[in-house]
Amino acid sequence: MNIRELHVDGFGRLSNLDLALSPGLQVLIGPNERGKSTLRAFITDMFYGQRRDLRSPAYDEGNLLRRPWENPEAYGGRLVYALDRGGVYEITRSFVRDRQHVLLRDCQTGRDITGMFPAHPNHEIGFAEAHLGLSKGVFINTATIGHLNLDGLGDEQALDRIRERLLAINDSGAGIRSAGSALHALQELLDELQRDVIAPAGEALPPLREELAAARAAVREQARLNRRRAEALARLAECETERARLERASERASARRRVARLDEIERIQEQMDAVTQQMFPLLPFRDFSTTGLSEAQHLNMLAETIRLQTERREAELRRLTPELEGLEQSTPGDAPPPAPIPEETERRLHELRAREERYEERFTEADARVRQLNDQIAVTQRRLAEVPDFSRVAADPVEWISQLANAFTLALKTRDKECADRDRLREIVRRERQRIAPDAELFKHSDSFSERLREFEDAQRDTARRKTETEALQQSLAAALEEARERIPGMFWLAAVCGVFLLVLAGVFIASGKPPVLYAGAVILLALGYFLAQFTAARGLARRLRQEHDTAKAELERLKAAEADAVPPIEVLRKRANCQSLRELEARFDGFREALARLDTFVSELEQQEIRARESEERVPKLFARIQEAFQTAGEPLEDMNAVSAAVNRVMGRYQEYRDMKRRMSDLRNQLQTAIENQREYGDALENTRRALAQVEDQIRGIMRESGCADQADIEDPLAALRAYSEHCAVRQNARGRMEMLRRQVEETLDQLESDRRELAQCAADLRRLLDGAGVDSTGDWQARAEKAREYRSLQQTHAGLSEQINLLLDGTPLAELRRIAAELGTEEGGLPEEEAERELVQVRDEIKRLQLEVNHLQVAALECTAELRPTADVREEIADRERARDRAAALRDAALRAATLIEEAANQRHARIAPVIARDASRFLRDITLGAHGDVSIGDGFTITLGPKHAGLPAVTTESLSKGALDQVYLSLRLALVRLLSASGETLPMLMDDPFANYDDQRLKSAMRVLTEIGTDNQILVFTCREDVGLAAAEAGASVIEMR
Amino acid sequence: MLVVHTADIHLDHCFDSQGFPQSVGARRRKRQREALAGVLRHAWDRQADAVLIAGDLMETENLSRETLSFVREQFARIAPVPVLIAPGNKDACTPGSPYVAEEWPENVHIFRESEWRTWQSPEVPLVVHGLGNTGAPIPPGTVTGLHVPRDEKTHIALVHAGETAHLPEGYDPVAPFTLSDMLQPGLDYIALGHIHRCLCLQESPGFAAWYAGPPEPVGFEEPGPGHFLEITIEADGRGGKAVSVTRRQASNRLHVSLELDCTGLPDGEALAATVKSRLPGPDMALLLRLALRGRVSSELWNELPGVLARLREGLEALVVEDRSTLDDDHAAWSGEDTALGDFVRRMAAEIEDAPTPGDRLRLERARDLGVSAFLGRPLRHDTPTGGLE
Repeated sequence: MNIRELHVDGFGRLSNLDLALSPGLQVLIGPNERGKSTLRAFITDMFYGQRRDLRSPAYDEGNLLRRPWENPEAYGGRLVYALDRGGVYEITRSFVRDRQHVLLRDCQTGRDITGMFPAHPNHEIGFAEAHLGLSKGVFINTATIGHLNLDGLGDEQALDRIRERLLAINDSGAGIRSAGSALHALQELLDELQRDVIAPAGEALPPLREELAAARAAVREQARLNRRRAEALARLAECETERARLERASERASARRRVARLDEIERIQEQMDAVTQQMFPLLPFRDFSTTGLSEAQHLNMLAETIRLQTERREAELRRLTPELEGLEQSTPGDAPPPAPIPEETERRLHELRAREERYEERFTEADARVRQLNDQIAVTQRRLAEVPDFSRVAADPVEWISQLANAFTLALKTRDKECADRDRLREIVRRERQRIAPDAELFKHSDSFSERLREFEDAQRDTARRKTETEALQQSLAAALEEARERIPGMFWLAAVCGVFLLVLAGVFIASGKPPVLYAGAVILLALGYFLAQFTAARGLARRLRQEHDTAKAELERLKAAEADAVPPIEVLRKRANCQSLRELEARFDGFREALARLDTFVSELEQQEIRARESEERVPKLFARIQEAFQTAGEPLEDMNAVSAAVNRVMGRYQEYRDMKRRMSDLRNQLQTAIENQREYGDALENTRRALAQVEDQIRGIMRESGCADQADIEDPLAALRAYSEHCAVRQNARGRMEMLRRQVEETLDQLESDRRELAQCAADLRRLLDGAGVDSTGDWQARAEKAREYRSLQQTHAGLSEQINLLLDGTPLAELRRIAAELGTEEGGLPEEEAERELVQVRDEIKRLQLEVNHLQVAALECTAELRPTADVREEIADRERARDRAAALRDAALRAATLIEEAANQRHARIAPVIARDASRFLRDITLGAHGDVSIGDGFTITLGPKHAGLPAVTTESLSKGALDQVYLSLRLALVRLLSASGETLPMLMDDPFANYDDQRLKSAMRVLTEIGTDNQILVFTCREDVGLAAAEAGASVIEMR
Repeated sequence: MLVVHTADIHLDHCFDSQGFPQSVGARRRKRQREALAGVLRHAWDRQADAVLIAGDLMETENLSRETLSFVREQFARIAPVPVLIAPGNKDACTPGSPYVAEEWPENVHIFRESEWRTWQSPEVPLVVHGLGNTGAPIPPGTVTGLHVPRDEKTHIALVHAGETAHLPEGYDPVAPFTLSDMLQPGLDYIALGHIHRCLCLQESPGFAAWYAGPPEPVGFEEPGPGHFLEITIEADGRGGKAVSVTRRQASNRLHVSLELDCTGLPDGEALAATVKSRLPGPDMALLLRLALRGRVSSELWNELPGVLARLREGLEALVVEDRSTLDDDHAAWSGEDTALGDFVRRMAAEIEDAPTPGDRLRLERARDLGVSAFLGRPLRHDTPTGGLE
């Protein structure tokens, strides 16, 4: 198929454009924004329409962007194309919204054949699909090779990207995804399904099923337990009935048993009577109390023990008494013991002595410290007087000096910087002026090219206008002259005729003398005058017109000469500028204008910089004067600006010294004050301590004197006196202590003897009281009587036991009642024996208890069966929910797997089929384009593209070693091969190339053009470009070049 | 005399076959309990002379202790109003069933035998003849073997059985009987259970036979809303009785099944509007089963999850069954000499040969997935359309 002609009524910037195209390679050249890409879009839209969505006729608002700029109502055009298989068709389309229509006409028959093609759901007529065998997407991606498609290929994965791009076009047509990418997406879906749904469901379901099984088993178990419970309840009811029966039987048997015991009761009554007879003689001892017998025996033994103890104590007393008497004789009894010095007084004495010593030391130290500080203060005051008093300078001299110094340093820096900037700008301005001086001279009268050009064109137009006017004037003058010239002979001849007639009439009058002849002569004379006047006027007019005509002619000649001589000033300028072309001159002028503007900017900046530099220079001395004044106050005369920094350091040092001394002075004064206070405090404390010490000494010496120890009291040193007194007291105290101890032992022994005697008397009294109380004389007598009383009580217990037996046999039934029942029962025999009834009753009761326990146990067990479990409905619903999700996912997985399988099959078959063809053609194209610089293109398994070496034996070419241009050429070769392949089985496809040669050098551009020219013998190729060299290369290759204006 | 008749409550029913999400089941079971409580509350308010439950009160298979406690508590709460239960096939009175093993309040009477037994009201001249389901098949003629004495008392038959002329297809023929075989003088009302529909078999001035249907609909097969019956039996003044039956609505929940052809729907908004226009009024709480059919545009497909989520917000429950396919121009692709074209052609051939509609749908989904993978559309699995029913 090839496009023969197209007419754009309006499409984007294109309007009323006609293009006649021929088969083969054609290059449409034009600068940027001349509508090349628009034209490419126009061709596509003419074939396929503008609707993006095949399923919907909705208008795509994006199409409004391509509405004609000038006349939106002319949105559309016409395109004529011919098919390889024969037939020429004309498409006429309008893209105007709400009035869109398409008309396909068979140019050979002239018939409208639009209706012969099916309409898509979006209402587009599918003739292009029918004729080209391609959808719009495939056509755009296959036939269109734009420079944008080549971007981003120059990195390490370039060949992979080329592969992906080719496969995307080849596999999906619309160029969105390759089969590999589609398979990858499906694999991701499969992975997600497995990971998010199927696997979790697979993991969750077995435990859930186990839970359900457990719940169902629990329900079954519960039902089983309920059944058992019901059975147990039934059995329980039966047992209750049996128990009632047995209880009744037991009662009857019991009655019979009790009647049977009547004889036994009577026998026991006889035994009771015998016991009563034995008890009778012992009756006097019935109430004899045995209480106190053991106590009396105990008291008897205790009295014996005390007697032995008394004898031992008396022996001890006899041993102690002689020693005590010896000590009493050695120690005078009337001498008072020395009064002890109170421990507190002694401790206080020691404390006061220690305190006195401590205070004496401290007082001495404080006194020395005061003297030392006074000396230091005096020294510091002398040194402080030697430095300036900075307190008069400023509140914070450091900050103030720093600010001044910083301000001055900043001012210097600013001045230097501003001056440097000013000098730099001056140099720049000077250089710029020098640089543009030739151009300034050249363009000094050409401040505006356009104005000059306009003036020149105005002058040219004025000249042309004047020339035209002069020509017109000349022509009109020539015509008027001709007319005037034509009139002169007529008037002459009329005047001549009139003169002849007048002469004839004069002759007649003269001959006839008739007056009427005069009348006629007068008329003719008037006519003669008129004609003569006209003749004269015509002659004058013709003369004047000739003169004017000559003047106009001369003017015209002058204008022509001037026009011929007129050289445009711009041309003069070009020659002066020694430029090859006006574009070069224009570029030079633009450069000059830019340089001039730049110079103006620099000059303006320089002026401002001059002001700033001047201000900064003026500021420095002012600031210096201030610093001088300030430093003078600080005792630092300053003369040189360069010495400011050093002076600042010195002043700062001096201030540092001043501040240190001030601080030191302050510290010393504080310390002195503290030392004086300490001195005073320690003096007072020492005085107080000494007074207290004197009081304590007086007190101690008084005690000594009172104790009769005047010798010790007179010892001068109170501590020595105290030690001597203590030794004296200790000796006397020891003797007294031993005597006191012996005295205490004797007294204690006497006390114990007395106590033992009292206790012995008490024991005897208590024993007597007990014997009297029992009415006996001795404990032996008491023992005998107690034996008889115990015998009586034993018989009494035997009697009570027999009585109990009778009561047991009666079992609560009065004897009379028993006798009545016996009378009632008479001789009744049979019935369940009581033991058996009781035994059965016990069994039944046990069974009832067991059944009750079982019922309770079963109820609890039934409750516990399901207590820990979720309701089965919940579990079943969760299982169903997860199974549904799993089944849905599994079905989707199966569908995705089926889709993946078919895609893989389709892609593999297709790739295997086309890979050799594309590789072969691409290799050839690449060799031709690169002039043999590259080897073969190989397409291996998985459509892997590799670039073979130029010579056999060398390693394959890597992407890194390829330039961007070479990659472009590989890509172009592959694309061309792909288009050729797609064209092989049907209609050849036109190729619309949008500047695909951006990275080509001249050689390869030419070779590429040759390749395209060769391909152009089969496929129509339209190359849209803005580059002149592409046009030249195409022309050189024999292709036609169409310039788009 | 006033009695309340209900049946087929199916407490603790498992909704696993309804397609509900897991959380809905528990809510539905709560609604069932509330419905029973509502019926009993009505009986208490009206001081009914008896409450008749014609079987399938609960599903023994799934019955939880909580539900059982709830039921007993509810029955005890309306004492002394008698509650008469004829167990059905789902709560058959087997030896281990709660009807046997558990203790019931004094006012509850359970017909535990699969033979007709009578219960006489101590307060009013009312005799209820009941026949329970014991889990074993009820022999033919058992239901119709009822003999009602001719006296002045009101006689009501209570049974869970399927009347053959009205038994819907697919129902388990539990204790099948024919109404005409059961009719006899003296019988005033037959309270039936088993068919999940409030259904009148016969109603004349002196006699009526009704299926009460569940008070809370159990599934999409019985759309709802649920009812129970209030039966008034009075002397007609001519020596006979006048029986009148009033249907009372027990719940406002409706099961709605909606099939929607998505072909031509431009977007989600249109789908939502179409669905809403086909739903009943806002006074009903809806459980919607939405079946999507036809061809879905890619715009609608993209918006579908959000639309369904918004739709779900206004409903008691939503179940989506998606059988739609993507609305793509497969014919155009199949004409192209590309891998996509080849894939679409192969899929078309397989779809054409699909043996069953299910296989066909699965293959269409495979084709949609493949085409979407080629065109770079998102492949989702977490939306209704991502799955296959």
